[in-house]
Amino acid sequence: MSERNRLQVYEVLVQETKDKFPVNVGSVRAPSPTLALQMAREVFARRENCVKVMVVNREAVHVLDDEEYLGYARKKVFRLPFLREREARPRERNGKQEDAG
Amino acid sequence: MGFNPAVERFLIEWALDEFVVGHLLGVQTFHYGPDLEENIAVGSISQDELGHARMMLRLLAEDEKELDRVVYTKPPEEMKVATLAQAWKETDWSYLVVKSMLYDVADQVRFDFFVRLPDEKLRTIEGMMGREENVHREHWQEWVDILSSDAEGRRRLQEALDELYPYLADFFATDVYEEVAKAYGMAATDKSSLLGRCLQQVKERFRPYQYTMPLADEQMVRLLEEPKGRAGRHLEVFKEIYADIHSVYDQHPEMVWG
Repeated sequence: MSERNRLQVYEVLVQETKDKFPVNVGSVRAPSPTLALQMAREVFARRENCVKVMVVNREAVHVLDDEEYLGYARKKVFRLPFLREREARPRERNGKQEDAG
Repeated sequence: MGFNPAVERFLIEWALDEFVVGHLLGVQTFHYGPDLEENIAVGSISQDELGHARMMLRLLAEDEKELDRVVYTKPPEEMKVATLAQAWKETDWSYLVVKSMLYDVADQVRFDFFVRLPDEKLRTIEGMMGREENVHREHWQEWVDILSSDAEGRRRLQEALDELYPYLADFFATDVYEEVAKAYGMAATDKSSLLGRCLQQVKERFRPYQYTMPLADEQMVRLLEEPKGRAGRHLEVFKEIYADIHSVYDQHPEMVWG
């Protein structure tokens, strides 16, 4: 199989309306970017209207997925832009106290 | 809606082509392409083509049963379906790619003729159809390009081209274009000039990969005088297609679906 007809994975982003950001809705496998766009349209946007469909070859995506590191954000209370002290207090959920945020 | 009989014939021939092409693309949607995504894309093209057939017939009749009668009550020899539209091989992807590419290029030539007709009633359907057909051509061109990237793919495409290319002549082997042009008082449009335009576009699309066209243009023009599907003389496989298309309708001909 030549490089040209190698199936590759493309991440699909769909922008529902002009005032929203495109959202990653899933992925398709396709042998070319043009077909990836067509397939993305058929798989993710054939029954719902939208204003833009984008595909990105997954190999071109730089990823950060360190969950522990990415999970620190809510713990840094001092960075939260709350105006009132009450909002910065730890949240209660199901009777249990959570970290701030 | 009060169209000239020639225009009516033109729309019915066109609608039946689209109906058969759409039907065949939908028959085995689940295992055409190399992947689920491609199958969904082919399924969608199939629905587009069936939708185009419906849009055209809607111009002629509002009543659902009237639409059904155009498609389902004709004996095979009265269905002037282009041979290219009915060409079909089970599970042969390269054959389907070439058939679809050739059909969509010929269809574009017919569409270009259609949009020049000076009739407001016809304008309602061209926007959506034109846009969808552009996507279909892009789709099949992309597959021609992909399959042409290795020797095995080129061999299979050439084989399919050898069989299917001559059918382009039958596609235009109808006097309906001249009759429609006459009905609207337009300059004469003869079938050989439409065929010539089509062959030129087909060659442009296949030329970059060095495929050989099995017949010269003059031979193709001569074939215009030997219509097959356009004269109701169908391929052997059409019997199967015809039976399949009729299998549900014939059980309850008076049923209004949907």
